[in-house]
Order: sequence, then structure tokens, then C-alpha cells
Amino acid sequence: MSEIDALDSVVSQPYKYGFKTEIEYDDFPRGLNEDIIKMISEKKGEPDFMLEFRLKAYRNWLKMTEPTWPNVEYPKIDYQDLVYYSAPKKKPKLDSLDEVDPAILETYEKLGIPLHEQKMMQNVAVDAVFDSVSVATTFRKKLAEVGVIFCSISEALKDYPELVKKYIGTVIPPGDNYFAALNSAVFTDGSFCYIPKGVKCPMELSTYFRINNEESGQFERTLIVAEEGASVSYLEGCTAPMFSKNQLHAAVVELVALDNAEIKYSTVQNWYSGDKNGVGGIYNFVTKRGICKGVNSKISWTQVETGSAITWKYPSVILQGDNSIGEFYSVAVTNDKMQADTGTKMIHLGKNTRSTIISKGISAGESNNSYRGLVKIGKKADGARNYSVCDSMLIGDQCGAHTFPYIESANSTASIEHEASTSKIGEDQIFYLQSRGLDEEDAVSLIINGFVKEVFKELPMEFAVEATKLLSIKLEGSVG
Amino acid sequence: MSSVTAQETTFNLDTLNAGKVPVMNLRTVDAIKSEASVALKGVPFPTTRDEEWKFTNIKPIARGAFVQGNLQSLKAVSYDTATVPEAKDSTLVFVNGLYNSDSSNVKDLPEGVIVTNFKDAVEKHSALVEVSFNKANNFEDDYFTLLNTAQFEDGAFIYIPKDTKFERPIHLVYITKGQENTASFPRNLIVAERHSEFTVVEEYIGDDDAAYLTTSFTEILLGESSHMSHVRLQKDGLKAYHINRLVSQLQRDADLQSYTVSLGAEIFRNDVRAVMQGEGSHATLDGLVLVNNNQLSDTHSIMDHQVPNCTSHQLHKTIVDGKSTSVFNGKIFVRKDAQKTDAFQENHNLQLSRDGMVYTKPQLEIFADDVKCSHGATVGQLDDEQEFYLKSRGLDDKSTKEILTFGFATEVIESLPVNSIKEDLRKAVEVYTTRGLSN
Repeated sequence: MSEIDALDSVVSQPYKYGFKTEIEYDDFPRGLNEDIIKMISEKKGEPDFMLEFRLKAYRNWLKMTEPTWPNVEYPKIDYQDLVYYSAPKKKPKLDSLDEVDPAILETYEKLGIPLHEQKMMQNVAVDAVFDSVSVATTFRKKLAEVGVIFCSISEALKDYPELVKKYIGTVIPPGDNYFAALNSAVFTDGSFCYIPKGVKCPMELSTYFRINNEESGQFERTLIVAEEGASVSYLEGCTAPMFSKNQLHAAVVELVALDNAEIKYSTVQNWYSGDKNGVGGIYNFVTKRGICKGVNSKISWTQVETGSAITWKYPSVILQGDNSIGEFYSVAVTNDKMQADTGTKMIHLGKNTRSTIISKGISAGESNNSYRGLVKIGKKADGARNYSVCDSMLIGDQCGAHTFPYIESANSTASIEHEASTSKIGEDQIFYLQSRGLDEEDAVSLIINGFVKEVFKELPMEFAVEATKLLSIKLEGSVG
Repeated sequence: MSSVTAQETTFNLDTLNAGKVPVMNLRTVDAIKSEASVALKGVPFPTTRDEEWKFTNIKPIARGAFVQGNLQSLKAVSYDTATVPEAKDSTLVFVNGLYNSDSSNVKDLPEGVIVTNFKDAVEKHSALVEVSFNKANNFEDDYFTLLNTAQFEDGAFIYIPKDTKFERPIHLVYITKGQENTASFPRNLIVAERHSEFTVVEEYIGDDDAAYLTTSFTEILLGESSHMSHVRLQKDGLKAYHINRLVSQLQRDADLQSYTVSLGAEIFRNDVRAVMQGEGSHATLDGLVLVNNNQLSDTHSIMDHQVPNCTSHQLHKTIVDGKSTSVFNGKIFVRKDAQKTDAFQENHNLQLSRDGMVYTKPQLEIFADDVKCSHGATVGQLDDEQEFYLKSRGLDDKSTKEILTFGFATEVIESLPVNSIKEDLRKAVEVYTTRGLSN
């Protein structure tokens, strides 16, 4: 069996999480207008400022046009044909798992993340978002003891409206870009996390998102605030059932780090990517941005992107505080007809700010994988420092790898290094491993794991295991 | 992405040559010229809203009411061909875009070699011109390419027959002199047959006191196993606007070594492209840019690997001082079947002043898997350790900076093929570094 065939079989593993849970939905009519937004806000019992925020965003959105600059192609989205709100009908209470709809629990079990098990064994608090409304939250008490607030954003709006008001939209304003504006207008839920002054969050926080209602766009909104000297590690993972119709996922994630604070945000994204012919699959158009507002603060993004028909996102860091640090570690895998245009923006404003970008792209099948990044050094960012590496690997001759790094420097004391390379898996590497007794598939898998290791080592322990598993699922296949 | 262009930012075509398209009296060439003239009307003047012009504001060019150079100005200018002794008997001189036969000196050419001006070639070698003119041009809907094609009146024509090695460098000198708002449109066509070997130096010179515009276009067709060294020196006046396009087409095993050194002009935009059409071909597109004060220098390059087994190399260095701006966008394309491509690109920027701006965007677009492509880009200052070392050996601040800046720049200069030009450039860099450090 030739090497290409082996690689092919290895990367074209069907989607393992393709199933759909049958539960009743409490849906809004299709379409978007101010009334729908008012209904969402009312339904969720939000304070007035939130409705104003939504309407302002909606009015901005109406004036904007959908961006065409990404290196991706998709049929035009009819925004009036989407359902903007859907929630499981029986809203369960949050203090006991017994009250959760058994069908939902079953879904999680199929996914391999039974809440009760995780609760005991992993010491991870799980705020599981099922479609748009949170259905279960664990470990809240334990977190509350140290003063950490970790809840859904709709609960936060009820319980801590002042906090939300103070920070929401400060990193990504309602008119920031087309999809962020849309999200700001219609978001239904998401996570809110607040780490008070001086607190190191005692456990890693994670949320599992799932889209389950056919044709309902999901608009997540996440806001994480770390006060002075606080630190938190947040994990986000996604898997989605198999659909034939495209689904839009336009999330917004905002991170705020004050003096000496540290936020680590990790993602494993494995939405349904469509079938071999590119039918179906999720459109993942996400705006993620963090601001290092205080001195010596640090924001670190780690992402493993293995799913979605189209991925379009640039987790960014605004380095405003002096001596602040921004990091971006990414692995993007595309296969079949998937398209990914992803990267980061590091905006250096403060003195002695530092940023690191490590991006690894793997393209196979007929997919296109683009890295697009910006490193911008402002006039006052004395001593700013950036180091970027973006490597691409191509498997097969039908795919494409693209690199678009923008470097803009307005300060003569800045120092920027960027390097990129594109290559294939070395024949001599495979030959060597085979001569040591490994079969072709294991050899390929080992080499790819080595290629992405630099990024995977940044993932928190639990995720590193899951990501390695995910990659080997993607790379699993038969040889000979 | 280009949207409707505001009236004030369009280039005034009517003042050029009274709105007429200069005629070459050769059917195919004139047909292409008038086509370009028509197409030009439908192409908007580029603005910073266009991705390709994002950091380069050429509004100042749009404002000028430029007129083409006339024959009278020819008389006032003379050029000593011994300036570059290696090329004293193979020099063509152009003034304001028109051929100056008095200053030019071409003699003792090997059999079959043609070194002449375009107008002359149209008369004497029309068949050669017809088969090669505009053949390599792959600039689509590009305003300045169309402008050059429509408006050019002359330029150089070089033909090297097969199995011919031409030892002397061919020196093309373009001088702009005279009043404000002079526009010139040199058009060069270089054709090399298989197994030929030669060197061409293009040099652009102008006065510092007048704002003039040069829109040049050089087309290079390299046959099988031909070797060409190409040097382009841009030493325009500091108020000048210069927009250049260079496109080369390489057949099997052809080898192009091209170097661009840019020192002058207030706004300089340079687009260089190498299209590798034959297997085993190699292209080098190196560049050195020195800018200061309000200068803006923008280089866009494309290495287009269309077939397997080609190699390319690019080293682009810039030094930014004063309030100047440097822009670099280097693309490497590897087409679907271009397996075994080996492409390397390096961009280094030395930022000497607080007010300078550096924009760089190296870009890879790869559609084949069995390739080796990489690029690196850096923006930085002089190395602290190197500075420390030199100072510990007794050098003062000023000479330390001079030596290190000079060292940074000479990497490109050292690979140039013509000794006297190397020497000349070393001096120019020295002048630049001392000038730059004194303000």
C-alpha cells in the first residue's frame, strides 16, 4: 500500500459523534428583527441595559456587510431563515443531576463525558451547555468558597448584573465585526467566569457545547474576568451531531486580565465537518479576543481545530499593560472539503510586551488550510518582542496550505521574528520508523504527533489526553 | 474589493501626450497598446482600500498633471558611458523615456546579439518583437501596467541568440531631467534563446528637485538553460514617484539572478515576478531598500512555481530611518503539480528611527504536497552584543552604528555581478548610513 493511500485512510476517519437526541424544543419563529431580540431578552428576564446592548448591536449589524476577505467559500447565509432561540422545554433545576432530562444525560454519555463520573474522578467543574441553555452546573459550591463565580451568562445577568455590565462588550464592542455584532444581538447563553482579586482558581473550568437542534444557529457568549493577581485555566470542547444542513456558529469570547492576572483558554473543536463531498457541516465563525489590561498580565490561547466545514477565527490578544504576555498555540487539521482560515492578532501597545505564536496546520483531502495573523507594534510599545512560527503539513496533492502573516512595526525598539515552512511527512522518517518495526500507520501517527507536540504540551492535562485521542481518531484507519 | 474611486484620486490621463496613445507602427504592438488604453479606462486608480495597496498611499501621484517627456530635453543631457567601465561599449541611454542616441554607445556585439532601443527594434527586427512582446505580462487589471503598455514610446530591446555568452554587462541608463511633472514610461523587452548567458543592469537616475513620475515595465523571456543576471538600481530623485513592474518567464533549466537596489524616490512601488514554466528552472529575486525622511518603498514579489523541480530564493532587506516607510509582500505560489519545489524567502528589516514604519507580509500559497517552502521575516534593531563588542574595541557610538548598518546592507550588494556597481553601491550605502545617523 502506498504511502499516500495509508495517509488517506488514516486521515479520513468518519465522524464518531454523529447522532441526534430526540427531545422537545421550545423554539422561536424563524427570522431576525427587533421583536425577536426583545423576545429573547424578555424570555431570559434580562436587565434593561442588556436589551439596549442587543438592540445597539443589531442596528450596527444591519449597517454592516458580510466580510468576503477570508480564504473560504460558502453559499450565502439567509439570516432570516435561522431560528435564533431554542431551549430544551423542561428547564431542569441546577442542584441535582437527577432532575435533568435523561435524554440529555444520555447524549453526554455517548460523548464519553458522563457528568457524575467526571465530577468525581476528574475534579473538573462542568458547566454543560445543551443547545442554548445550561442544563447542569457542578462544583459551584466549591468555587463559591473561594469567591469564584462560574455560571451561565444568563444567570450572571440575573445575579451579578453590575459585573456583566462593567465588562461585556469592552473587549469586543457590539459593532466590532459582522458576526460579533450578530452574536451581541442574539446570543442566548454562554459562560461567565469571574476570578476575584488574588485568587488562584482551585480547578480547571470547562464547558461542553453541543448543537443539537437542526438549523438553529448557536450564538455563545463567554466572558472571563480575572481581577488583580488572579489566575484561571478555562477549557472548552465541542462535538456536534451529524446534519446535512449547514449550521452557523458565531460565538464571541471575551477575556479581561487585570494587573498580574493570568488567563489560559484552551479549546478542542470538533464540530461536524460535513461529509466527504462537503455537504453539511458547521460554519464556525468565531470572534475571540482577550485584553491584557493590567501590568504583568498574561493571556494564553491554545486551540485544537479538527472539525467544522469552515473555521474562521482569530483568537487575539491586546497587550495593553506594560510587561504583559500574549500566547497563541494552534493546531488546525482539515480534511475532505473543509476550509480553515485561522490565526491570531497580537496588538502590542504597552512597553516590554511579549507575544509568542506557534501555529501548526495539517491539510489533507481537498481541504484548504490558511494561517492569517497580525503582529502589530504600536508607537509606544518600547521593547516589544514577538516570535512566530507557523508550519504547515500537506498530505496529498489536492489540498492547499496558505500563510498570510501581517507584520506592522511602528517602534524601532521592537523585535519581531517570523518563520513559516511547508513540508510533507518525510519519506526517510517513515522509512526509519518502519525499519524499527512500526507499521506505516503508527509511523505516520507518531510523526504527526511530533509535529503538533509543541502545541499539545500547552494543553491542560485532561485536554492533552483528549486531543491526542481525537487526533488518533482522525488518524485512525486501516493499513494494508 | 475595489470600490468606486473618488474623482480626486483618479490619475489625469488627458494631460499625458494630449490624451493620445503613442504609435509604434507595428500592427500587433499597436493593437496591444490601444487595447490597454481602452482597458485602462475601466480600471480604477488604486487606493489603500485595495489589499495590494493597503499600506501604500499613492494619492500624491494622482494629483500631478503629468506630461510626457519631449525630444528637446534630450539635447541637454549627456551621459558618460565610462561610468561603468565594464559596460562602456554596451550602454543605452534614455532621457525622460526617450532614446538618446548621442550618449549611447553599443559596439562590437557578438554575432546575432541585439542591443538597441525598442523603436529601432520595431523597424529592424519586427518579427522578433512581434513574437515576444507582452508575452510574459501576467499583470491583469493592473493600472500601472496598462498605463505603461498604452503610453510607452521607447525602451530597450535585447536579444541574445542561442549558445551565446555575452561577457560584458549591458547597461541601460534612464535619466529624468527637466521640469516638474515629467512622466516617462520605459518599456523593456529582453529575450534570451537557449544556452545563452548575459548580464543586464538597469539604472534609473534623476534630479532631486523635481517631482516626476516613472512607470516602467521590464519583460524577460528566458529560453532553455539560459542564464541571466539582472541588476536594477533605482537612484531616482528624492521627490520622484517610481512604479515598476518586472516579469520574467523561465523555460526548462533557465536561471535568473535578479537584484533590485532601491535608494531614491519619494514613493517607490516595485512589483517583481518570476514565472517558472520549465522544469529545473531557478529564480533569485533579491532586494535591498534604503529609505529615510519621508520616503516610502513598497516591494511586492511573486515566485510562481508552475511546474515541478524548480527552486527559488529570495533575500529582501530594508533599512528604515527618519519618518520613512517600508512595505514588503512576498508571495510564493506552488501550483498543483509543482512537486519537489524548493522555495525559500527571507525578509529582514532594520528599523533605525522611532518614527519609521515597517510592514511586512510574507505569504505562502501551496497546492502541492511534496515541497519544501519556507520563509522568515524579522524586524529589529542593531544587535546589542555586536554593538557592545565593537565599542569594547574602542569604536565610538557613531562609527559602531555605521559599521553595523553597512554590514547589514552589504549582504545583498556582495552578490551583485558587476564590480564597479558594487563599489558604487558601497559608497551609496556609506552615504546613506552617515546621512541617516546625523539627523
